[in-house]
Amino acid sequence: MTPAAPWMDWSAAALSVRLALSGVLLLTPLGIALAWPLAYGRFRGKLLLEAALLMPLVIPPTVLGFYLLQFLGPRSPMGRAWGFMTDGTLVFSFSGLLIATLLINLPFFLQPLVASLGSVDRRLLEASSTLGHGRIGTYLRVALPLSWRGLTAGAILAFAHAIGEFGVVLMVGGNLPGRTRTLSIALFDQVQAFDLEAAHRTAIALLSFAFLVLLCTAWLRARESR
Amino acid sequence: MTLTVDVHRQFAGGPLIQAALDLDLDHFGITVLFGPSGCGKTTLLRLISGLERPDGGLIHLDSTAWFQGSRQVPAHHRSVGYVFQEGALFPHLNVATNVAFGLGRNAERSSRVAELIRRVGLAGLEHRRPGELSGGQKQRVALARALAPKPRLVLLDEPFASLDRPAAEQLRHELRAMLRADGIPALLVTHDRGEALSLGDRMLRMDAGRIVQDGRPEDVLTGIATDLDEVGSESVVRARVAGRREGLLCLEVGSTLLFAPDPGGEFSQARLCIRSEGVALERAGGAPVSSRNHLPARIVELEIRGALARVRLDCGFPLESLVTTWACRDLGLCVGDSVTALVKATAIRVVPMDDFV
Repeated sequence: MTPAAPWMDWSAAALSVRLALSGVLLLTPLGIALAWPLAYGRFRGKLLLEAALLMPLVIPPTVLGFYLLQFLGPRSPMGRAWGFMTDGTLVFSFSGLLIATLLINLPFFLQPLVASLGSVDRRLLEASSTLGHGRIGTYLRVALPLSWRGLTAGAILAFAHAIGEFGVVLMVGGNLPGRTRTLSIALFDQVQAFDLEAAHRTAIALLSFAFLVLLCTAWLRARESR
Repeated sequence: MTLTVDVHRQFAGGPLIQAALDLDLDHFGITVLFGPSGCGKTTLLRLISGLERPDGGLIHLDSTAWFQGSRQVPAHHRSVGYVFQEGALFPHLNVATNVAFGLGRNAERSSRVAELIRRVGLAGLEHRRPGELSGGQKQRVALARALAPKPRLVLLDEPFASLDRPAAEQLRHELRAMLRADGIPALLVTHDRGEALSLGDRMLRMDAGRIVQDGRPEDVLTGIATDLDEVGSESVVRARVAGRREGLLCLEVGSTLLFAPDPGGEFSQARLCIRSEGVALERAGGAPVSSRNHLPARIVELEIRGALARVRLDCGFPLESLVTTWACRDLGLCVGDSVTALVKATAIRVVPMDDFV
């Protein structure tokens, strides 16, 4: 007789949350830095940058995962450098998962933020510059504080999406319990093992979480439009 | 220091703006940039502040180029204050932090903020957000914010345009004193004669993208049609208040005394706008009439246009009269003749000048 399955794969849930949280923590400075040129920059190749950053929205996650696997694998320059520094591998590890998470969630973080930045009254930015603040000062003191709802919405979306990401995680991380098995991969396992009861619990947990997130962003948007 | 501007700029579908002017930045004074809506006043301010880039020309501060060729000193390095039409206050900051926005973190910061808030009459409202202020209060904050870093020059883009009349009047009365306290020269955009006359030391009249006149407000506005129909024009003169009687002001223009309705308020100087159709003419020594003001005058110029004649007079100051051509012939008026100008007191509008010395 097999041991009774736990009520929930708690280690997978913990890993999902840890991955999503660290992802958002790293995405925040990265996204804030990248949002400026997208919202206000006027330079050659802006469209190209925009398209490149939004790519993860449209390419199949498995494709992205495949290339990441190539790029981060132990024989790649990146993988070798990592191995030299840490004695470990990027693929099938939390660090590798984190890099994948950053890449795939960047557009989710950026889109609401850039939209919010774009709707900030231009005259406020101009007023700031006539008061002696350059672009960076104006961005950090005026544009960003006035776009906090977009920033929050981006962070929530990226967090939610990171919790649920499946394809890239499976490709880059594999399915190592406690190390790279996230909740959505655990769900896949549970279905494969015909443990439908556990699968239902996992699915309901993910579903209600997603709903909660959408509720949050809808509420933020409603306040912004007021 | 002198700011020299000679620039041109054209927006797609807009008029060509081609303006040249000099501003003395060493002495306090309000220069009024006056002209109809859409003639390019705001654009000129934006070019001077560095918010907009000219297509060509130059902007020099003494020998330093702010704009020339490919060189453009950005707005945040020019130290030019800007008061936007509707304030453009930072909505996420309160009154005090808005005013402090352009100040560095140093010891004088909080005392400077307190001083300016007091000067613009908002003491006690330091912690209000812009959303909790009236239009007039917002403009006061905007003014304090622009003045706080002690800029070389402050640009005001129709600062009263968004205010209701009483608030606009009130701010107008106080504006000169607020600006003068730091001795910062100002360039003020307006299309309102009253504003221009009550505030300006100098006037630049702009039309269709060009500066067409530069001089004292009374000189620039004399003879300029008050609206689109060409008939109504005014003579504008500067006067000193000599006394008040029965709701009338007694005003001194040079050695001449004029009576005009008192608009109320405390002031010792004013500009008088005398509607030319309110100035009648008679041969010297006629019968008494109801006009308060009888001025001996000499005809300097006669211009007959159809049924109406415009008569330019010298009565110690330049004055225009608009009479019918018929009356002109009846009286046999000729250039050089001595006449008496009869100015109805009600044809004189008194624009108080606050805080002029």
